[in-house]
Amino acid sequence: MSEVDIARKKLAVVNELVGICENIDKVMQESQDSAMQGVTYRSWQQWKDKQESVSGVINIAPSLRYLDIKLTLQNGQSIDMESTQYIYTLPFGFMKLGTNIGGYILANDAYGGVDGVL
Amino acid sequence: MLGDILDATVKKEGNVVKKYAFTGQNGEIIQTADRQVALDHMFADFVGQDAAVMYKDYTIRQPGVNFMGNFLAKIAYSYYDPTAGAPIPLPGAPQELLQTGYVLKQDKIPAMDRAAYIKVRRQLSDTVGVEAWKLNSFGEGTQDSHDLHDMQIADVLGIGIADTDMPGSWHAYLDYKAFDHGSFIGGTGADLPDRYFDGIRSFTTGIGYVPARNLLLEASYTFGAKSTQMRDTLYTPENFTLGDYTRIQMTYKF
Repeated sequence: MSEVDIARKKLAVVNELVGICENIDKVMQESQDSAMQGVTYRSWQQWKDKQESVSGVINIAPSLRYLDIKLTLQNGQSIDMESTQYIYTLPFGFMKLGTNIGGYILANDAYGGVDGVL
Repeated sequence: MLGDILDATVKKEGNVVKKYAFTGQNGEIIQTADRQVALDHMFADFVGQDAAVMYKDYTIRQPGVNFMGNFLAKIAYSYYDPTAGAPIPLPGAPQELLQTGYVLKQDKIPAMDRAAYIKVRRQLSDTVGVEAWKLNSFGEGTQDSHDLHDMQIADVLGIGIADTDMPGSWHAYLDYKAFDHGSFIGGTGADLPDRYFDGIRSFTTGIGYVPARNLLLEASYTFGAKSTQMRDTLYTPENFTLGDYTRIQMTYKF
């Protein structure tokens, strides 16, 4: 199995876990009218929302701080994407400074499976 | 999205990527011109090879900064505690929750009790004959994740002509094999690795030629090898295929 297959399965397992948490949320919401005897259920959704920073970057996924990719361009230029000195702007307005790509940019990645987490 | 990162870099430089380089699983440097290979690595690197959560210095690459490590660290250190410490089940809440998902079961294949086969051969002319045979087991059947069902050993259909003793003679055949998972008991005499007999259906075509007395040249090609049923994996059942298999063999009879 390739490393990308393994990664997909890892995310699938995480999604399964999140699916369970969301299912519990749903069931507990339906039970709101029941007597809970003073115990408040704190939902997964509430907890997840709390993890969001004021900037809107969802911290539950990691920032993509380290890009283990080096590019060689046709003009011979070499770019180390891991370098904190290399700066570019992503189409959705985020700037890469080597340290601050929000993990959520991968939310709808073609690989799938992260949606449920984010 | 990972592709956007690469695209943004290329756009900024106004150039084209010629080569990607990254560190492989065993620490080796991998170089490729294939963008998809580079994206796959970025994705796998993002998810992470481990789930360690020890990290103190964000400026140094350490375990725990990948997706799995970070996710588990958030769960552990950000106090996801839906019941605030109250014992489960909560009063007034359902005693049980229905959660749909996949169940991973281990196949249980019973020992072979009895097996029998029937073979029909018909000679059509001096040099052409047709042969078909079917082999079945009897007993409990096999118990796998798809429940109890009869276990088929194999369905093999062959057609061919054969004469191996005379120089200049030849034979050819085409067969179809379907072996249920767990049915292979060995000793088929087929020129294929065992993995092609465990839950696999495939076609094989072959030829043989006797260029001189006691010398036999044979070649066979197995193709279309597919699983006969889905196999459970950690997350979902999967169908799978095997690659084509070519065998060339020379036999000399002393």
